[in-house]
Amino acid sequence: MRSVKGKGLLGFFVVAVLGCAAFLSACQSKKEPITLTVWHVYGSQTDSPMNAMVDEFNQTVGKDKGITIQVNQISNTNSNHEAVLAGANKEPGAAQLPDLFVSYPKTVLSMPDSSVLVDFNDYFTKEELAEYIPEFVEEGYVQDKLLVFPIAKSTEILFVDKTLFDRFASETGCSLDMLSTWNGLFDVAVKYYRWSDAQTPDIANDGKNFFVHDYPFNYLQVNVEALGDDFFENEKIKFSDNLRKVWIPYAKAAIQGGVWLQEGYATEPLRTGDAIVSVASSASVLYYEDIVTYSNNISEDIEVISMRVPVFDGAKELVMQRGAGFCITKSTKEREAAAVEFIKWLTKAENNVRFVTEAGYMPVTAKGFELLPEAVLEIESTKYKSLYDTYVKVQNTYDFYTVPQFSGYLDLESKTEKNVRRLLKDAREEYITEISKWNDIDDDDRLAKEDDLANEIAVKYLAKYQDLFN
Amino acid sequence: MKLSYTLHLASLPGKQGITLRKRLLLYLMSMSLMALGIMIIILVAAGVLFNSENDVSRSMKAQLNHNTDSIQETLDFMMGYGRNLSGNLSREITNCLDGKSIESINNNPEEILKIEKAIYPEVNITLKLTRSSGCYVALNATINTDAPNAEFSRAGIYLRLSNVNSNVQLDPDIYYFRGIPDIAREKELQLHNRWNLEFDLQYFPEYTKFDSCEKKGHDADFWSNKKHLQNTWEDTIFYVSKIEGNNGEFYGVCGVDLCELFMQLSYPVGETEFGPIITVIAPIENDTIRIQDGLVGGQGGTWLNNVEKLTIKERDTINYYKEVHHGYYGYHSILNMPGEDGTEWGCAVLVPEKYCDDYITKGKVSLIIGMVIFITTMALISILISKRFVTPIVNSFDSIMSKEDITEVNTGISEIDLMIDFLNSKSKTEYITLQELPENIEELFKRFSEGVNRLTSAEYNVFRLYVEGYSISEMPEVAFISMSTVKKHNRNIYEKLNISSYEELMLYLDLFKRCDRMSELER
Repeated sequence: MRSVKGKGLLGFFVVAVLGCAAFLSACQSKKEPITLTVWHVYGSQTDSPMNAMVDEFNQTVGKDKGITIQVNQISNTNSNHEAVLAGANKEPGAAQLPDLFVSYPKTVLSMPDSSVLVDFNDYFTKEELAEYIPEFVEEGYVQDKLLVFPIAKSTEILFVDKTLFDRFASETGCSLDMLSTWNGLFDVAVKYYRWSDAQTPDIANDGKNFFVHDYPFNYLQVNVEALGDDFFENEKIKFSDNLRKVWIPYAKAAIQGGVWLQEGYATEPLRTGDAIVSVASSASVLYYEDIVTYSNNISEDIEVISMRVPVFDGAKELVMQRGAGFCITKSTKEREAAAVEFIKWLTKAENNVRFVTEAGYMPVTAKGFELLPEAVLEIESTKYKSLYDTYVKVQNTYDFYTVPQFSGYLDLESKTEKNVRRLLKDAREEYITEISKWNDIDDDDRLAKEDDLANEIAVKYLAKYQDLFN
Repeated sequence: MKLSYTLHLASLPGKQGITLRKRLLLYLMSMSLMALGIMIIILVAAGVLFNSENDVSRSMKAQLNHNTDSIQETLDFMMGYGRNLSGNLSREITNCLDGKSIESINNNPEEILKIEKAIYPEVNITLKLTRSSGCYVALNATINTDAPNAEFSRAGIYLRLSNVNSNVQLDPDIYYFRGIPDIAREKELQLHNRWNLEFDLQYFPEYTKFDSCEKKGHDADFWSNKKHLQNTWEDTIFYVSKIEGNNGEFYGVCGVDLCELFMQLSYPVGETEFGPIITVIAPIENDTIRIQDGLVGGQGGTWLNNVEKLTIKERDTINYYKEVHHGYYGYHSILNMPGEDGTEWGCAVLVPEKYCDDYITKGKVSLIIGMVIFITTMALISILISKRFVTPIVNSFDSIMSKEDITEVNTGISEIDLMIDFLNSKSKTEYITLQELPENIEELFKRFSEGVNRLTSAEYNVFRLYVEGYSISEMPEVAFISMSTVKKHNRNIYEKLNISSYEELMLYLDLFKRCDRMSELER
């Protein structure tokens, strides 16, 4: 009995010493801070609204919780897509995937192993997810896992350099209303080319392009769907009559000089005055400048306005829903939770509305949409005001189209994007070569003949486009 | 009887408690640890032990050396390529001009486009090799001398990396920031969102620095102070190198730029126990670091964002850098980096004073609190041990003193219990007075002593050996007789003394001894 007591005393002594040592150790150590790396696409070369949000997070919630977000790359979605796939494929020299990166579901579908990404269902309760717009969340599901989380959504908008359009319209009788349908827009595009060509009668074929579409693939699929047809069939493009209906006017306008066919984003020709109307992501509002600089180094202030994307006569009012989301790379539970903490903070209605209204996006929660009208009232820029007024109209009148998810989507998209402009450039060259052979032809006959020729070449190049997929 | 005694001995270890030695050792250990704790507190308070300032100082010096080497290497690389670019461009432009002066191409877009196309490959390759944030050439000519502000407008090419994190892509995306857009379209480069046709010297006054400069060749090259890149979100410093024709004609300037994002990504904030370490490269002048003119690495949650300058206070331990509202600890070194107007540039690593002081104070306070708890615990253990150590001893002494029969006393302290056993056993060997013996014992004594007197001398000699404690087996050797003789004498002794066993013989001898009557058995 005494022996047990003695052992108890010795045990108490050992426990006491170990306890004190543990306390001292605890006093000396503290929770390790977490630094998370991020690649995003918001702002690119301009002032980045995302960077401002990151700074705010780091200095508030992040500081309290020991989380630092470090932006390692800001680029556009195309470059980001390539960098993510290079990192996921572990290509030589490619950077390791960051903790957080912006991605489209199509990028995730192209990754060799999407199991390296966190399923957001593991970190969001059903109640939390119910606060988000269901369609936006649904878009982020890949193979039954929520791998892409929405933080901001955009749509496609028709941007117009109103200053130059008004100058053209005042001389030709065209109006902005004519841009409400695709047929109207393409007619105006050809008129604009001819009008600008006529400004320098001594130089032939130096007219300017009127219109540029950032994503011809989006144009084709949304409008085919809007006409009530399927753009895809068995995960391939369905070359239907409705696709022909959509292709022909676009191709004809391009062949006749009305469409910008150079590579690059739509903001570029609008900046140099080489085009005056574009269809692009609403988020590109950040990149449209209120100035045009011509080749003689003379600059002119312009007003850029937003309008709803045109539709074909008789088609449903349908518009592409865009906007990538955040993916989280799997790591430790602590790092994953820290990344989710940032996303929750960023999508909290007040923060989200502040972010999206600076970046040209829509919020992702129902509460965010409630706060949006009030936030729009505070916007000073007429360009942004115009955009958000258009947003409201689009929301009231259009249905949103979400791209389907299948592994071959990216291939179809990149083939189209890489080749449509090239094909139409070839088509235009063929057209110019042909009409340059026409001599002593009456002006009225010429226009009709040009139209027929453009139609003929457009059909021919649709076949060439179709050949790309055979 | 023999068996019971053996069992008694065997039971002793089981009854033993913690030894006095162990208890004392435990007590002394507690006391020693307590003393050690007190000593640690004194040493910590005196700054001899766990001196956090020294740790911070060592860590910051190591960080400074590492960053200075790394930055200097980057700068040397950029300056080398910048000078090389200048030489190559000079040859290209001279070839394009074909004997004409550079000013002769003013208002000649075709000629300017021709030169821009000729110099583009050099600019492009320099940017890709250096992985700086940008590479530029500003020519001493403009497309339209009649354009508004034409006197500030200069043609040229400026390419910028889309991402300055050079590890991300092997073939980086490049934006066309300045220049005739035809080249961008030909090379399939994306126009920068803040593209412009020409350089605006109002935002690039460094261009004019060479007008009044007397230095020749690359001695005049310099790094500009930090500038905001027109219409973008970026701040950058430029390496500015003069491009001269063979006859010394000023063709323009060229070089690379290093933007703040490059600095932030290359030198992210270093998260340490004593706070975030920030790396800065900036002009140093009159004990002042001009933060606003330099580049700051990753800052985390620090306050350097809008700091104009830091005043340097060099100290024995670690330097102190003070701005209006906050202070920083750290070190700085001088870089081989020619600045504007001969300014010297330096590299500094800084940690916010508040974070660092908090860390040092927290560390000391935690350690002292911990040690106080430790000492208190040890003191309590000492008291407890001493109490449990002394009390049983005192109690056992009381028991021994108060009880007549100490055979029942058990203290749990092995040494004392052994002593009590010893005393018990000793008490058994004490003399017994006659009064204590029963009456018939005397008659037995008498009969036994008479029996002894009847023994023969040979038998008595054997009996004596019994008295002296020898066993039968030892007797032949001691008495020089055979065992059979011993046995024969033994048998006679038992008969004459009227006893039947060895134990009975021993009992008689024990009784005679304890009654102090052994003399009665002598002859």
